[in-house]
Amino acid sequence: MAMTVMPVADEPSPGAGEGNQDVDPRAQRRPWVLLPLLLCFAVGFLGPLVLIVTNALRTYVRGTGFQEFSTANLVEVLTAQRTLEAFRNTVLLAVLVVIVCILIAYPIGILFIRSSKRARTVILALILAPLLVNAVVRTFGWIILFSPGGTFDSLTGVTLYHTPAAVVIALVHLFVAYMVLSLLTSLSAIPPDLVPAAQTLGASPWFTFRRVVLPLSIPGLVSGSIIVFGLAAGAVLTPLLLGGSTMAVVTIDIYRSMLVFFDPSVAATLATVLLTINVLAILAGERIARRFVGHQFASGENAE
Amino acid sequence: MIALRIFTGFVAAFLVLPLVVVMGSAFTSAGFVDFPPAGFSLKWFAEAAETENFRSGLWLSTWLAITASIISTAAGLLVGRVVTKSRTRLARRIVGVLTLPILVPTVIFAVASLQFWTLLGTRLNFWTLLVGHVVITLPFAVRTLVVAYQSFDPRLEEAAASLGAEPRYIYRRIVLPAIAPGLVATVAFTALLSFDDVVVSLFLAAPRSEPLPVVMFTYLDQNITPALSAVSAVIVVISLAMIILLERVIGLGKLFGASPETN
Repeated sequence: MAMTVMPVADEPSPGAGEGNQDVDPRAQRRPWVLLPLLLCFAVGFLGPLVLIVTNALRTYVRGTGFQEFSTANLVEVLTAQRTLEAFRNTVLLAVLVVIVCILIAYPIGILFIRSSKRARTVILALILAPLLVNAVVRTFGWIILFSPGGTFDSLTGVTLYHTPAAVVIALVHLFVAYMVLSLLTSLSAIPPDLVPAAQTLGASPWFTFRRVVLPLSIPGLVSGSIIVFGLAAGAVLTPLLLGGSTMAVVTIDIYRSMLVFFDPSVAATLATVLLTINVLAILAGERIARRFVGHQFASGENAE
Repeated sequence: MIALRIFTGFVAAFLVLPLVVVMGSAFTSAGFVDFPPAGFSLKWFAEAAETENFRSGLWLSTWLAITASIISTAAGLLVGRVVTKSRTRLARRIVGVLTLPILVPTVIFAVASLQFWTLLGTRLNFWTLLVGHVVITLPFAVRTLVVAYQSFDPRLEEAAASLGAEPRYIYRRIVLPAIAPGLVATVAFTALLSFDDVVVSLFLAAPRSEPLPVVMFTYLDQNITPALSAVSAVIVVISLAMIILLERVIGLGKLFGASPETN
């Protein structure tokens, strides 16, 4: 049985041993069989997260480590001009990436729902395939294209290397597929008779789009936006390699403070605030999406 | 409609562009990276193959990918089985917890993990890195396999049992083959995710023992040569093979949650 593949490294699992499964198949139905797995997962994932939040709330002494709880560290880091700028840049960058992704993903979504099953498979494959390629390779490609003297430069005379524009383009390239996916979930759920029905009632294509399709796609748009926002706000490689000094975002500061300057206190603080922003964005997005879904079912009319 | 098709075509070309550029630049006969490449030569592939950094990086990445994939898939199989059989709210909450890492930016988890291991006093090694990789691949394994189990008709199991088959036999000859596409896709996808990971590895890799993407990142930051392009080209080809495999086995759309099914 598959249970024999239980690895030794991080899963001592007395409850899920092979013998138990064979003797009592009903054991498979009891969720507490998963307890050892959950414990390991808690240690491996939740533990670090809890730690970094508590570290952000403690003072730090070089050489000795984290000391007593105090918000002094938090305040000091967060009121620094540099930090505020970094967060502002991060949010601006992420929002910009989201907007561009929406603009690109939406037409693709519309095409998708109007296409045959075969065409849909092709579209999905084309859009999703690059996601499976290493981020380093993809960023490398943009570096080659945008570097001074590179392809883009020779074609247009504009050097985008170490500019925010290059970072935005590269990030859109990395994440637009996720926006498309989210959007497709919503768009695919629109009953196919809805648009023809609207049109037989006299609606113009633009009106149908604006008052029928668009509102129904909002949940997918919002969820895609949350995903892309989180990804763009958390991007390290691309701003670092393509943006250079023009891209002072939080993730670069986290990377530098942790691995270059060996200052875990600053890293912990920045990471905690970034995490908080992310969580807030997710919660806000869910609230917005819920409003629109509610409208949809309650009155049968579209949210304005 | 035509306009939409053209637009989508352009987007697809846009998505492929950097990959083409990188692969093309690997064949240059010049000493620097450029696209279109100057001349044609395979020497950079030979150069890359002889570079110790790339070789050890590839070795480590491969081992990490295989191990992380096995662990995550096994865990996913277990979770999928238990969750679809029990159908309690607790089971659904468990799936929710296990898929949490998707919501947390990787860099935050990476930094947190490093501080975590530092606190425990553990030296960074293969195992600490592996834990990180398992955490980021587990959500996808759980998600894919739970879906795979859900589309399996439990009556087939009951029928086999009523005909006298033992549980072990049922699982091996009936359940596993039925979820085989999801299973293969999970193994391949988790391996690929681990192989592609940069951020977690960047923070958790021990010095001088770094997975390939981290090695590539260092080169990209400090020393861009066509040898790097050559390595990248090989990675693109490997990824392409995986993509074709995944598309054949389960369909890329389903892997990520979208379906080409028309309503």
